[in-house]
Amino acid sequence: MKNGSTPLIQLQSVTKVFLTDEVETHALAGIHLDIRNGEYVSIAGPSGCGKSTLLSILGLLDTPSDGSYSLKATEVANLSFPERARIRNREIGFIFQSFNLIGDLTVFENVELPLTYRGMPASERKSFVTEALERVGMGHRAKHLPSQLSGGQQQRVAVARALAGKPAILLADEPTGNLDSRNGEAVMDLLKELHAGGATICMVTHDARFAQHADRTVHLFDGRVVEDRSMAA
Amino acid sequence: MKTPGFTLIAVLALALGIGGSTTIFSSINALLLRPMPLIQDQDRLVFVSQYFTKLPDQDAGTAFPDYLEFKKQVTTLEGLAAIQPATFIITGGDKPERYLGGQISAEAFSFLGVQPILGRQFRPEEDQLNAPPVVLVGYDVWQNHFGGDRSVVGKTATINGKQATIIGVMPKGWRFPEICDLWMPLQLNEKDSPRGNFFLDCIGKLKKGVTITQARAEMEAISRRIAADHPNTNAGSSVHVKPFREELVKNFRTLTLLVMGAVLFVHLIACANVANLLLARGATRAKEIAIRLALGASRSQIVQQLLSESFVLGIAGSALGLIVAVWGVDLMLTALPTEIPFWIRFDFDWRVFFFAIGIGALSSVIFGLFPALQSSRPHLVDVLKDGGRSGAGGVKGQRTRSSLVVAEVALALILLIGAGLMMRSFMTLQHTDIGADPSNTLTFRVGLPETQFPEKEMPGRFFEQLIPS
Repeated sequence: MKNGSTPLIQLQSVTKVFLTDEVETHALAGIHLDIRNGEYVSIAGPSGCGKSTLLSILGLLDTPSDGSYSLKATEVANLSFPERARIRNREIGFIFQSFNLIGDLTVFENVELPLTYRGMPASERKSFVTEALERVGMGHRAKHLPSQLSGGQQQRVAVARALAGKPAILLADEPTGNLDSRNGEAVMDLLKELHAGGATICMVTHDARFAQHADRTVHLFDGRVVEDRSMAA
Repeated sequence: MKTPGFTLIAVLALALGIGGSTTIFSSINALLLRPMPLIQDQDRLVFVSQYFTKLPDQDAGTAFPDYLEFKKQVTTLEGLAAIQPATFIITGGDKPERYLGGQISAEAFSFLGVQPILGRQFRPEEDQLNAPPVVLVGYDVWQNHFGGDRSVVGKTATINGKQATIIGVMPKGWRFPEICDLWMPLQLNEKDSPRGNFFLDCIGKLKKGVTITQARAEMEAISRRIAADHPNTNAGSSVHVKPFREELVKNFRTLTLLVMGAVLFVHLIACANVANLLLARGATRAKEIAIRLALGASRSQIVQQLLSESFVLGIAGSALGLIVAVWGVDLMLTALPTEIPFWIRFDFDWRVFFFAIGIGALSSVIFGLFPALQSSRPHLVDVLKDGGRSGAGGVKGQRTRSSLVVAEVALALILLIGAGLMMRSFMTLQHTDIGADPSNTLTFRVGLPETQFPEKEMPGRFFEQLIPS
């Protein structure tokens, strides 16, 4: 459901500079980006254009060198690490290219992990985890280890983990990058389904086929937004 | 359990360090902490000895007449006993048997609070010179020589050629003051043990509420009066009054504490080793930690998780270390060249147990905290990406591991230098010229019963015959 009022995410003049051995790399230069509730945004661009850096900043894994970042009308750009971790836990669900499941934990435990860090009671966690696994069609594999699943199944579990805490936004970094086309399509269908159910999604992809699944595509080049196109247009 | 190889190595390293530390701590416990067995009110016992002010650090012993004066005049002590070591030879059986023992004043065992398990204590009149000889027998002698005969009280035994009546059997483990197995009354007189002949060991018991300072002041005043009355023998003399336990351990305390320090150094090296292993392992777990952080774990939650894992290693190390310590104590006792005093007991009590657990827990913080703090700061973005650098395996992590190796080498070097110096001192002692060649030399003691050698010149004549010129 799209909200026409204040954007869920507002980036204004966001810049990111990396300093390595006294060499400055301008990964992002003056990014302006709004994402509203219920939108499905894809961020596309050639390799090295700053897509993943942008997603890291959106996900509070990294901080901008300059500019402002508001999440749910709260300035979050320069929060401390613990504060960012708390917001990340509650408001953001991550889906990584390489799934990033913890191999020693079962499917259930992997999905449960962010809820544990939130301090949720066990009975409530069980209910949230079960719901999330059912939603992605992996409820029957709750006691399996990630090594016992296919790539597509692992990514589904990763989606469940991202969903379980009912975050404000799902951030997906090349979610089909490590999958074959069949499994990739399956995951994209799942994201589409979630979006239809009201989820706000921001996805980084270099695959134009999958970028089309989104309502809106933001093209980056050399750390700048060169095009911001609604797919309906 | 997920990385059994790492766990085994870490636990073994810790167990060796904890085992060594616990072994030496059990010595400290036995010497300095654990109450002496069977003795009541131990904190009120004092060691009393005369000394000469020109040699203030040397205890001369106490002369018998001075002992009687102290006993008569002192008001701050509940009791004052005297003891002199003696050798007792029991004959009359298949072969003579030699025991170490003591001639002790009648009231000594009473104020020490120890009662015989059979029979009675000495009576005051039995301290008189010509009183009939009586003997208190130690538990092991009762079992081994007298067959544990419960009717042994009242029987006689030939001790040093004289018939002595057995009046009691002391409790198991009682060998006061160190390794005595038989006790007979002091039975001294001033004629044969005159003033100026300092040889007795004296033990006193402070009255309740009296401090050792007060007792010392009074005894020193009595000593001054004696010196004034008998300047020929006692001029320049005074008296030491020291806590009894302190006197017993004075020769062992420093060395034991030094060895404890050395062993703790070894343990620190083990901790540094395990810390290095954890750091390296942290590098392989960097991705997992980054995932947890990305999912919203705070650094303190990650550190807590990693410290819990270290704690488990520490406790496992403590458990195995206790087993190593049991072997270590057995080895130590086997290596001791002489019998140890009865009051030194190396049994593992709650202090030793808690020391092992405590040092395991403390070690887990020492070796676990730094790697945990280090591992909880990965470069999140890099690590979460495929093929990204691992946090603790980067340049900073390498530097940290190298620093730990440097610290280990430094600690090991200090230990090596200390050990080298000790070896050198030992070698120097071995090669000190004593004015004679000790190689192929045997030492032994021969006790000559007074009843068979009553005249003063008789022992001399015996040894002239025994040793050919």
